[in-house]
Amino acid sequence: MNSPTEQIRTEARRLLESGDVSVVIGYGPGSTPARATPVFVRRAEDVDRLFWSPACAQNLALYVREQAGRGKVAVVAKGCDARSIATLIQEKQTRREDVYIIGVACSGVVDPGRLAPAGVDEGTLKSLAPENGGLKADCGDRDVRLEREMVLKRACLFCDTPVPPLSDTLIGEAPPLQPATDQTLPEDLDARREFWAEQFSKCVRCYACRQVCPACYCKECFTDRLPVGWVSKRIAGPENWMYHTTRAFHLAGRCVGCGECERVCPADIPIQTLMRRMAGEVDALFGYRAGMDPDAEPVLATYRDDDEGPAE
Amino acid sequence: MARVGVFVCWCGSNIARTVDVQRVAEEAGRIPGVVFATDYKYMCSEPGQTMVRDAIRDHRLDRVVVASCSPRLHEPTFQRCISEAGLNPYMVEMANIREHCSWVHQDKDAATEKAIDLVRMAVAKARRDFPLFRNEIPITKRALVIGGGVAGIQAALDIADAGYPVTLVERTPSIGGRMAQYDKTFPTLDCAACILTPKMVDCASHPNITILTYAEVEEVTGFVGNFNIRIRKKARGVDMEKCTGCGVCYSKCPVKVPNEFEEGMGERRAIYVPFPQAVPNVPVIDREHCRLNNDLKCGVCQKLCPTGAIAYDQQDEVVTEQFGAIVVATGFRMWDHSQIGEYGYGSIPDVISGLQFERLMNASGPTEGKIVRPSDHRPPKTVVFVACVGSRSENHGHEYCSKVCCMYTAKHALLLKEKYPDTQSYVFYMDIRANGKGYEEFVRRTIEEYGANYIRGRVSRIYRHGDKVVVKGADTLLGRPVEIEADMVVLATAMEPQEDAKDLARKLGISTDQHNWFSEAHPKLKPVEVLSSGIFLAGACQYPKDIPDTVAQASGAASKVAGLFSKPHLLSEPMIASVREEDCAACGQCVQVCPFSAIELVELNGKNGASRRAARVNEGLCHGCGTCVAGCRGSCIDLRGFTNAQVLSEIDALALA
Ligand SMILES: Cc1cc2nc3c(=O)[nH]c(=O)nc-3n(C[C@H](O)[C@H](O)[C@H](O)COP(=O)(O)OP(=O)(O)OC[C@H]3O[C@@H](n4cnc5c(N)ncnc54)[C@H](O)[C@@H]3O)c2cc1C
Ligand code: SF4
Ligand code: SF4
Repeated sequence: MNSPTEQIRTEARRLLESGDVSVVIGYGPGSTPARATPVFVRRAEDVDRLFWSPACAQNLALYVREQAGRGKVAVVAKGCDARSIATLIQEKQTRREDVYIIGVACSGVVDPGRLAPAGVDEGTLKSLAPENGGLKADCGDRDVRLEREMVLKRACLFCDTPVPPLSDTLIGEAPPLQPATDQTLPEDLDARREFWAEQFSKCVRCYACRQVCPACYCKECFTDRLPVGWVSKRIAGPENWMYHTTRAFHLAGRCVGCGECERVCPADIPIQTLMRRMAGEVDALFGYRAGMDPDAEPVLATYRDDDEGPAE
Repeated sequence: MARVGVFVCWCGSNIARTVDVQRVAEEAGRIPGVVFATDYKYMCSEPGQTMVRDAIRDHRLDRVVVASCSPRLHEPTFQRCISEAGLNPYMVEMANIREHCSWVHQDKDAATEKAIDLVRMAVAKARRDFPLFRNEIPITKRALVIGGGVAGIQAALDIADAGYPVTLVERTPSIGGRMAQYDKTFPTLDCAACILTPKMVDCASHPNITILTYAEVEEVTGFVGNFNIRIRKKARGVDMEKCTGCGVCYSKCPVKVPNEFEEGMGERRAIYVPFPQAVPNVPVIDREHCRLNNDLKCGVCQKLCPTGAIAYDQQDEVVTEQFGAIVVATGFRMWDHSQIGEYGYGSIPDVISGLQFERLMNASGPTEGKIVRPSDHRPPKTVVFVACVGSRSENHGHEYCSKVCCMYTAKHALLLKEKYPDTQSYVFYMDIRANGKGYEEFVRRTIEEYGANYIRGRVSRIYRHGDKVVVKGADTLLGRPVEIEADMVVLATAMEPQEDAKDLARKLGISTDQHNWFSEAHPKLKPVEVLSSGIFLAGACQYPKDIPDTVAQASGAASKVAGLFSKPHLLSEPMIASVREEDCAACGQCVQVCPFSAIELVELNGKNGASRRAARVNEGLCHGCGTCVAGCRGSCIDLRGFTNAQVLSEIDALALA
């Protein structure tokens, strides 16, 4: 069996040569073996720019929307990315017939920011490859065994859809992984409020989380629209709180949990802990999980007579 | 810079008793942007309004705050007032310092502070008011009436008489509704057919009325003045043009099935007219039972029809037409009591429903008007009537009173005695509700002149004993059990909304109550309107009603339609949603959440074939509910007259003051 990289290239070549798609959006090697970069391949002879590795962290659904209306595109998508694409289809940001999904079964991707704490110097890293449920880092002078918990993008540890629920071709097989449960949040409500107050106080309002999120596609974000007065753009407790909770509400029933927001946050705010909580509520109330079915109506925009009310 | 005038009303002592109105006016004068503030005893009175107009002129006010009562009461008054002084009517804000303040508080100081806050908020909002305008919307002056019972018939006739074309859609083969099944009607005992048939015939011959029987509404789009309605005309199997109504076909059709019109007590053929006076008098072929549809040989009706009207291969026809207004008159159905099996209904043949009793009394009914027991066709000597069967009972899901049962039960008891003087009737009742003109007298007559034995109490059990039906119950007035050996029992079962009421409501975009009766816009002041404009209710589809109330409401609905059609055009409501198209990401969430289907995604075409989509609000359909505003993550939708900026500035005025 060819490597995933080979399979992606073969598929991309076929798609571009036949003219089925105008561009293949995928990953290429980044500045270090722990990083990938999005690449846009438009000619069959360029398919070797594409690759696959545990460094392919980005959610490329972000670019699918930008390409909408410019003909059919192919995109390399992990489980979470494919769910993002489904959400975009549900929300009319693209059409199913305009995306060709090269699905990749994924066993988790690396968050380069977590390498140093795990004792790996990204600068001297030679390669990074999966090995027996963990990763092997070739650091030049030595090999280091890395456990998933140590270096994966945090969201990957909670992932329950490693295989894309929708795809046009699928590369790889479902990995034998058990999603973890998030135990970050204190049970006690006051303690929980304390927890978030502290987390949100770290926010510098760079909006990286919003920019990287495929579901945050509003032309002008509410936060840029807030009038000065009651709620402003000031970087301070209540305003940060307002920003994060409103964003969480705007993503309720829509966030697929890819965890890009958390990965790019310079302040290390566990944004996904909030999002996962919201997703759990939506699932419990409406039996709905975001992005599992491109034909489903967006859950919070629908009303059914038998919808349950909030728990008392 | 805005120039706001504030007018604080005393409302006699209604406000002034609990709010220091002078101080409110003084404080108002200090709010930035306010150039004039005063108080007066009755702002809505002519001198009060003159004061407002004069101040607009003298102080060059460009917006006005009236601190008085609820905008529901006097907003239109002051809108008119300021537009007489040359301002756009939407440049006035009401601060409700009566219902929201003086009426609900006692402490004068605190109430005064609150009134000042309310005024401050209104000023903040007023400063962001901008002129709004109404647009003209054309009206299609044609009405659709859904349901051809007495309600629909009356509404159609009244609208047609007012000079407007009407289409009457009835889903059964004939118009007439329930009333066509009755023998005589309370409280005057005139014969139902004698008063209904002429109206049915009038409908058929009226130049302004088109009757579509055996037809149903499939889809409703559009809005007041311009509804697009898809109607399915089910295949009748008989050519309406050719048929002369001679009836040869159904006299010879070999198939016999229970007759719905006779409440299952008689038979009809596979080709049939439901009753002799049917309008139109054109039979239909019941395809389910026609031999030809069951792979059997036949074709008798086609062979015999002298005009060649039988058309087996006729197909359903679907038409889409435009209407300006809709009257919903779909009536009621009887609760299917046999499902519960209580009181032996459905298992004891001589326990029947009130509707079945109507058919037994009717000269054109299954027994030609002879009241006999279904079991052995012998006339009953003792008949027990039970009122409130399933009505006023939470257990049976009808907390409501079916309203007509007391009266028709009295009618039944009276007519029974009149036809068969040697019979005795007993009526079990909870209490007698006879609150219509001549109703109480009617019931008294039934009891006093016709000897009906009224027993106040509940029936606990009904069972068969030999060829008798035993009714066991309690007489709660005398406080003792009663047991009556009857020959026949008539149950006044609850009235229910049509089975598909909820469905139809959804198609029409109107609401229903918890029982699925259609909801009126206001229980007292808007009893024929619904919350969507251009749709009106008539008859028992709203709630159980007798014929006089049904007809009155039908005429009311018709006059609403005529009133609507008498205008040259409609004026759109200006306080509606509008989308900032440049910011819209076209996610379609607003489209989905709008309860009035007032938003759609449209294609915006730019240069060089570039295009993108954006949401757009249909001004005729939008009710200004604001659901979309809350649903839009990008806040690209605003409610004109209640913009996000206005609401936030009100909050700022309150919270940051
Ligand atoms: C046993 C009994 C005896 C009564 N006796 C009297 C009496 O003596 N005096 C009195 O004043 N009142 C009497 N009433 C009350 C009377 O029946 C009602 O007031 C009256 O029938 C209400 O008329 P309506 O047109 O609203 O409804 P209905 O008579 O029910 O007519 C509704 C019509 O709409 C049609 N329809 C329903 N749904 C649709 C649809 N989706 N599309 C198209 N068509 C549809 C139905 O087929 C029907 O023809 C009695 C009631 C009962 C049950
Ligand atoms: S990326 Fe982090 S710091 Fe930046 S806005 Fe988001 S949460 Fe705040
Ligand atoms: S304001 Fe209400 S009715 Fe109007 S478009 Fe928005 S949701 Fe629909």
